[in-house]
Amino acid sequence: MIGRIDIPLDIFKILKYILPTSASYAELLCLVFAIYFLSKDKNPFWRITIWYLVIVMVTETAGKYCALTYRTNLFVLNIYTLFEVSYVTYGFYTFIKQYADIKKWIIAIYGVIILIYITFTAIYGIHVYNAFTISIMSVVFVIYGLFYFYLLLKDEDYIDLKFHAAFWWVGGALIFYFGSTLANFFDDIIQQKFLGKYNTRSIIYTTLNFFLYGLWAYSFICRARQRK
Amino acid sequence: MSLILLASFVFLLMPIFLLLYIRSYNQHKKNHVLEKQNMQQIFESEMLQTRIEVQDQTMQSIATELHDNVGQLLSLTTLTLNSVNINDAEKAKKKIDNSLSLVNKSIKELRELAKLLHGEQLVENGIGNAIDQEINWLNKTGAYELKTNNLLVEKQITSPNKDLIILRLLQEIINNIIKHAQATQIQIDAYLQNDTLHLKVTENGIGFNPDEIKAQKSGMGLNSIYKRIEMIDGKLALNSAPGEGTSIAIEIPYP
Repeated sequence: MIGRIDIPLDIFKILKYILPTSASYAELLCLVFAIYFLSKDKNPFWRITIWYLVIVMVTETAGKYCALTYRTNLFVLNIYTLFEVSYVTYGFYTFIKQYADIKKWIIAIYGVIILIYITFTAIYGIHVYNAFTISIMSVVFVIYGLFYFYLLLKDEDYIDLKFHAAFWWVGGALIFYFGSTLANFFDDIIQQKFLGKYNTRSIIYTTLNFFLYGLWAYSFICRARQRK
Repeated sequence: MSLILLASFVFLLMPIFLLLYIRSYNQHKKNHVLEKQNMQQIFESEMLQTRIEVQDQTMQSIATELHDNVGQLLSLTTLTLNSVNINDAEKAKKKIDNSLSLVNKSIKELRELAKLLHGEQLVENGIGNAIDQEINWLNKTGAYELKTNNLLVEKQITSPNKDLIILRLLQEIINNIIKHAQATQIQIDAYLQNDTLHLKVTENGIGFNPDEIKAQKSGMGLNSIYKRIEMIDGKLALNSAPGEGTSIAIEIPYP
């Protein structure tokens, strides 16, 4: 049962929702980079990237608002998971298809993840953090990432990876999803405080976000360079 | 708690190391690609050099032919025609007939020359024909007793780059024989067996010590022969000793 807390809204409260916290600085920076470097891109994946990052920022703001207003923001995170699984799957599909034809596999696996998501939501409701789907999703993305790198190594052509957008995008995703594996499995435990002050979950995710959005932002620069 | 944090840190480090590994592997791949490009460039420049040398050789042969053969025939024709006395009809007829036969011979020689000029393109008609042309030219000098066994003429398969190199090798070997060997007999065998082209040239000249010649950098173009054989994965066996003639056997994977 979710109850609304009636706190009158003032300008400082609104600013508190909108202004980024330490965890979302990387996301905001990434969005700015995406708008600057990708707005002229014709490739559908890179265009969708801008909108996905907008959704990430909206989720952050809505999450903060809901946390303060309803004392829970888990349903916002759960809805966001749908966008996340779709966007990242599409990203991996875009990059892997350059080396291998696995369209059917990717669609099938995407269908299974969505099915798991719906089943979990049907059983536990939207207000329970869907850690199970997120764990499965993370493992699948790690496999996609490793598979992409395997294909990249196997390929005989030389590519300058320093400026190869796909490499950095996949690299960022792999670090994030591989790094968050433990955090997903021990989601209950890591909510406790570390050294009495810091939230372990927050430490892990802030670090991972920094890597994910940092590398993605760099991949946007590479993409703009490739376009030229 | 700190254990999970530490483990997460390790999990974070693993993909980072993976990225670093892929980057370093990629660097090796780059070096490999550059090396391959470099080798391709060397191969192409060597092919160009070979082509130029084949052209040079053809030009030299033509110049020699023009000077020694056609030139002599035409000079003789001029002399004969100059000495014609039209008052002595019988002698005049004989001399004119002689001149006519000399002119005809010149025409024949010129036709042969034209064929030689084609010789350079002959490589396109197969290595067998090119080798035949080379043997014909050698035969015409009349300086050697030739035994030839060229079984490549009937073969339909070709390999343009290798053909050019093989022709150049044969030219170089023949040149060496003419310049240094003082031979009277030459035997040339060319045949294809188990996807390998065999070319063997044997002569009864003065011979030499192969080790000494190899040690000299300029040694009779031998270095260039070895380099080119290596370029097309071939093998060369050289047998020679002072006073015992020389035999060179070449094996090249073909086509």
